[in-house]
Amino acid sequence: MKLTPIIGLEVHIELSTHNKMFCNCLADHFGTEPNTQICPVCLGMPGTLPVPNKQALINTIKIAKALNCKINNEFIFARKHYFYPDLPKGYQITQFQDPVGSDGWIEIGGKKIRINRVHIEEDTGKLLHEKDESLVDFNRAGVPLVEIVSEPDFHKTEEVIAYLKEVRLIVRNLAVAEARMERGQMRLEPNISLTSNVSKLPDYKVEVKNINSFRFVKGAIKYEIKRQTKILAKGKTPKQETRGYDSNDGKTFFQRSKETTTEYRYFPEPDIPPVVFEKDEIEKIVRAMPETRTDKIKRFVNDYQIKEESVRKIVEDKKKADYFEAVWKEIVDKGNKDKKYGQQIANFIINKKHLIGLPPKEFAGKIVESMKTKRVDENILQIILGEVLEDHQGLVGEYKQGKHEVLNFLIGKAMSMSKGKLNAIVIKEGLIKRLN
Amino acid sequence: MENLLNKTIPQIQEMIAGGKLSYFELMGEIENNVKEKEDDIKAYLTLDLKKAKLKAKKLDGVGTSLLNGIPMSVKDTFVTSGVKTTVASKMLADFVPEYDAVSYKRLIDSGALLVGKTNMDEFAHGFTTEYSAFQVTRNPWNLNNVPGGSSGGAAASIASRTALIALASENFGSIVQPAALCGVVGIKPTYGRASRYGIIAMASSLECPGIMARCVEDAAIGLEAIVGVDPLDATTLNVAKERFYDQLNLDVKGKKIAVIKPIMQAVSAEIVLAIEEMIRVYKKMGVEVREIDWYDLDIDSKIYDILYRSEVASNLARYDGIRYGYRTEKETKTLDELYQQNRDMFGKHVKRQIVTAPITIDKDNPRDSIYYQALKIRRKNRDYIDKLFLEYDAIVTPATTFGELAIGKTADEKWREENRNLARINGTAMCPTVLYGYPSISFPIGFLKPTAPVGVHVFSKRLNEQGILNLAYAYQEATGLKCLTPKT
Repeated sequence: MKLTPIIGLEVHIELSTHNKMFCNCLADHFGTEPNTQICPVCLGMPGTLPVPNKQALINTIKIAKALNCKINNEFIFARKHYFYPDLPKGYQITQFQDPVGSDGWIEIGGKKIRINRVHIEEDTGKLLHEKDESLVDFNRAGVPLVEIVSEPDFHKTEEVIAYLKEVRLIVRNLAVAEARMERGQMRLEPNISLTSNVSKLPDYKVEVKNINSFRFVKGAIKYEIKRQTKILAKGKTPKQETRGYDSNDGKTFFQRSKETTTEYRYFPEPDIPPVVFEKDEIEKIVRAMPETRTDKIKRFVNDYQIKEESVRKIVEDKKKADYFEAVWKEIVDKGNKDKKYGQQIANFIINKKHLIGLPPKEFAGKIVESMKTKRVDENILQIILGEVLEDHQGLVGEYKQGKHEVLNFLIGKAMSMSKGKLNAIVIKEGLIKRLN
Repeated sequence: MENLLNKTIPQIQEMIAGGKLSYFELMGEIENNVKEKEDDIKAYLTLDLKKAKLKAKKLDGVGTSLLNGIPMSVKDTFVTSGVKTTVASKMLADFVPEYDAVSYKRLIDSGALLVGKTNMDEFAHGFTTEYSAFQVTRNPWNLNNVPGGSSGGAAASIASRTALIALASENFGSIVQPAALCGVVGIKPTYGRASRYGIIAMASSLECPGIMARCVEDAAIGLEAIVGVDPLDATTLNVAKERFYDQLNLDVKGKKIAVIKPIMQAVSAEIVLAIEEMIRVYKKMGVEVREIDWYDLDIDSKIYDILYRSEVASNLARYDGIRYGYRTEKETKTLDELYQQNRDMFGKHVKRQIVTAPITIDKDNPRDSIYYQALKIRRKNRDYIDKLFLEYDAIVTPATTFGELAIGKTADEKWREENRNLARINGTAMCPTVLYGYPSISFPIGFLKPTAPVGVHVFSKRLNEQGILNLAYAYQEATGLKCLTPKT
């Protein structure tokens, strides 16, 4: 029985806003002295109220938009209840219904990965375990945290890693998060199951919580596939449960089962009215966003008339794309409006990498030069071909009757006439065109 | 100086401006009253007279304004920096906050002086102030009676003249009913008009700060100070400030008020009599009064119950003893055990609200959950009453369905059984303003007997605080029922 892994991902990313999500404390908590960036609000002191950070919402809209999500017109906050010492209010303010974005997608290696939702919530504090006691640092409590939930569209670890890299690239490109894994600014939770029938989702899934490196995600998935395969081979179904990952031995371990899962008792946060962003406000935010990769590909194809295949090779690297546009600008500045230049620049950038070090102006010069030669050559080619065909009308007749060997003779004639200026392939193509 | 404390705030300020009285002397008068009455009444959980007197002294000779130097009591649900704030719960018995409730701060910034923090039902769960974890407050009109609740300490502080203005909070009659039982004026603005920041939350979408005072003028002055948008409370409304006191107007001719008939049919004859007398007075002033039917006498209470319990359980989740508040001294082996020990400090009634919180939202079918059903009906009923306000300027109900209430009665099973219907009708009268955010006022309209004042509850469309203040003011001036003084 062939088993296919079905993998989905929950990614948490801390936003790099100046302030926390619901109060005015500084959000950048990395390396700070414990409990120095706290206030009555993020400590959940009696009577305090949360006021949403607009910049964090704007940044979440940007992320959702870059992930091609539908942006909801009204964002509703909700309370998720559970008890833990790092959770000051006994509930986390998050989103349940009407998140910032939903139904998005991104493309990874030509495959569409669907995004279920993008929502904003607050981070918790941190427990510090000492020998005889556990202490809580609340500097992180209330830091804006974006959660990106994918559909279970991954079948391979490589896809997962490519997706995570792309997501990290997107938030960095938007300059809304640093997403540095070693600082805990990006945390990953894969859910993994195996199926023998890809068109049907398995009736269980195993979630691995709070992983903070791509390598560990790989390890956790690999281990889970092995573990679950063994169980399935015995004819059993793996239990739906939450597991942790031990990076020391590369194994996942049981944390809690579905039966003991907390009832979160979600309900709409009464302290925060629904946040409404008017359509033009969202448009304004979107307009100010750096271009997404998908849009860039579209634009290059349309504006520069380049084959999509070539565009992808250029756009994957921001430096190449910027270089392309700098070169294009030089050529257009010189008054060359021919759209054919686009593909030529692309070809040069893809095939003649050594030239990329040149200043765009010089590079542009080479492009213009190459196009010129090509055009001159085209004229010469047609004149020479005309003369060769005129001189050897008998052979032309033979060719048309199916005697294709004569072609090589004609090519040879043309080559000697051009004195080596034309190459054999060009002549062959030209001859075949005219003979047919 | 019995006379002095029967004057309105503007009259007192006039005396001070004219050099006939000082802020220090005014506070001294309050102190005398505290000494004389507080042992019996027990309106306060914490007194801060020493500081109040010092501050009063500093105010003298610097000028006057309406609230300057006015002795104020604050319900112990409002956090006050440097002053113990307990919500009448052992959970926060020693809690001294380092930040201020916004409404309190606004009153202080207007010059008012804190006399002390007033008693209440623990976490505001109750309507008699008997469920305070610390003490029972007595009604200044009859020491055997409750002052009402949950803002019973606030109402008693005004009635006993140990404060001239009280900051309190409304939630299911928490201002309206004690104001009536203590013969004082109580007002709560439109939901969102005054900041909730620093009110120790019970049910966030329902509660609202408000003011109690001896007369309508003082209530208007206090209200004016606390309203206004607040950047710390996302639910506050950005509406222009109004001069409630300056705009008090006796001309209510042509106003239309509606009396809810089914409620009138359910309350005792003596309350009906008092309200009929009020109607007679209003009609004489040219106010049109009509009886109206009501949509359902139970539905609002039910919605309220669902929202209230859900929100209470959620709001009280933060009291885990980790960062502040009661912490067990016992050795605990697990985290769960620690939570159990710490949270055991909640009173019985509070615990009951928490454990009976309905399962609010079903993760798989959120729209089917009881909480959403309640929200849906809430919108429907709100629309119904909103429509009534296209025709009527105000709706009138009794301020309490219980004429007077002896201490200990509500704990008596038999009494509860006998008064089930009155409790139900009380819910009908008190729920609309907290569920739909209407401004409401409670003011005395007479007496059931010399030791039992009776009040009425008037509410109107949202943002019409001036309208209900004017109705109350016109009635007060026409009848002289103002600054009522208990004879005890």
